[in-house]
Amino acid sequence: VLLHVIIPVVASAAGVVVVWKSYFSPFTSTGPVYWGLLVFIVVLLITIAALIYLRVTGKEDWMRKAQLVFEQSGGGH
Amino acid sequence: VAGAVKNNGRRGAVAVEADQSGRGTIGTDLRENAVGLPGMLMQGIATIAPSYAILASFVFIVSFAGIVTPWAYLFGGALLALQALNAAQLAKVFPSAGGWYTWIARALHPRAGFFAGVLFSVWLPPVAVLTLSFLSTQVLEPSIKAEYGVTIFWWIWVLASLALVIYFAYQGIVLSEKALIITGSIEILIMVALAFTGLASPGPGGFSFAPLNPGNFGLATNLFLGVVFSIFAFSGWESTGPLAEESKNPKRNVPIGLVGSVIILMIYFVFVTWGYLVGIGVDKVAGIPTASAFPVATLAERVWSGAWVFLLFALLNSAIAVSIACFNGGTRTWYAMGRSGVLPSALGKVNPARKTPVNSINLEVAVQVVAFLCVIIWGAEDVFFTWANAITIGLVLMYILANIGVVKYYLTEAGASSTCCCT
Repeated sequence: VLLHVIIPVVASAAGVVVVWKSYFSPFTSTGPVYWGLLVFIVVLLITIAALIYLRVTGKEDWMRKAQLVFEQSGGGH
Repeated sequence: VAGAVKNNGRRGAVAVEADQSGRGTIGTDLRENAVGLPGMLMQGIATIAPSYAILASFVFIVSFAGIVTPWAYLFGGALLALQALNAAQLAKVFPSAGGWYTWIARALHPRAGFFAGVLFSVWLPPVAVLTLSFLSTQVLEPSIKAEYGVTIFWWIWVLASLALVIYFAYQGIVLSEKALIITGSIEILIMVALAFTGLASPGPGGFSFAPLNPGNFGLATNLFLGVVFSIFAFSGWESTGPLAEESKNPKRNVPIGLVGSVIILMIYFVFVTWGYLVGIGVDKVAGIPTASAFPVATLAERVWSGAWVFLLFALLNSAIAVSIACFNGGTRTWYAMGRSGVLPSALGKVNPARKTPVNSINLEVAVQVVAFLCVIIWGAEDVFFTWANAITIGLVLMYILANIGVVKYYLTEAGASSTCCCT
């Protein structure tokens, strides 16, 4: 439970606080922090648009392949 | 269900064992067992860029944390060590060149994994030009001119270093990881040596343990913000993941690389920032944020005289090492995304002799050209920090997705399989 629940939850909460303190408190409407936020939003929108395109066109076989895990061929441990 | 994934379009297929959900295994065309534990650790360490991170973060963090700056790095590192521990939980069960893309796709949802793949596509590829441009415009060109009266234009540093990085990328993982270990070790040695010299030859205030004394937390203007911004200094440990298919025993070495690189750099940052504060002078810490020259360079000039150029060498080394590491991490992520079909399959093509994802490397070289044009148009400093801020928020979101994946996987799938096997 510690490793697979508590630590992930604590680390996520810390991440939220870091983002809030870095980008929104205080919020600045100019400079690299603001521009970085805008770039991130653009990247996020492009990602969502690409996912919608893949879904609408029925190109979703990648979702199966994206989950494939590497297996060493020669047992090279 | 046994199947085959065409991963390069020309060179045939890679054997795949997959069930209907896609939760199976895949082989690789990359060079297996090429990178040992030292190489995996150095992949994370070099991407964090030990000396470059000092250049990019030290003065800024001192402006918040003051005399207790080592504690800001310690707390920031501890937070990221927790995050690395979470990532290790996924890395040890889902090794893949896709790294975070595959981990999140497998543990949470493929569409969430897609976000991580896009983020790596934005983050790692332009690192070479952006870090080299920032270093050469802010430090190399002005410092060499001031010291020797010679102008070596910033773009000469960028192009020469970039040529070296691209050469290593095309030569293959074995050579580039050796280069990484050598350049990364040199930069750490130089930066630690400077810290030792600072402790041995302290500035105003003399030798002091004050930077390590938690009783001085009250002297910081805002230690919390110091911690927040120290997290950026650690970014880079994530890049160990994409080397999984070239690593020896990836289920062991990738998790160790993730957690180990954060812990090693946490110790490094605490020690060197203590040494630099003592060397600069614990009585002069308040003047660090407003200093006209980079205070660590001023310290190097005072204690090393003419040999202070070793600091410039360490910084250049650091920028080259981080560029090599990011070339490797970025191209392997694209390779995995091309192989899975979410990016053009040509990106999954591998050079049969060198076992390198050659089209992914070609594309990454093209990204350097675009990044270089951005630097020329908007200036190195603005482009570097805009990119840094964009990827930092993206990385935090990626961490959270991975954390949710850890909880989901271990509470459902792994829990079910362990119940299954125990009963």
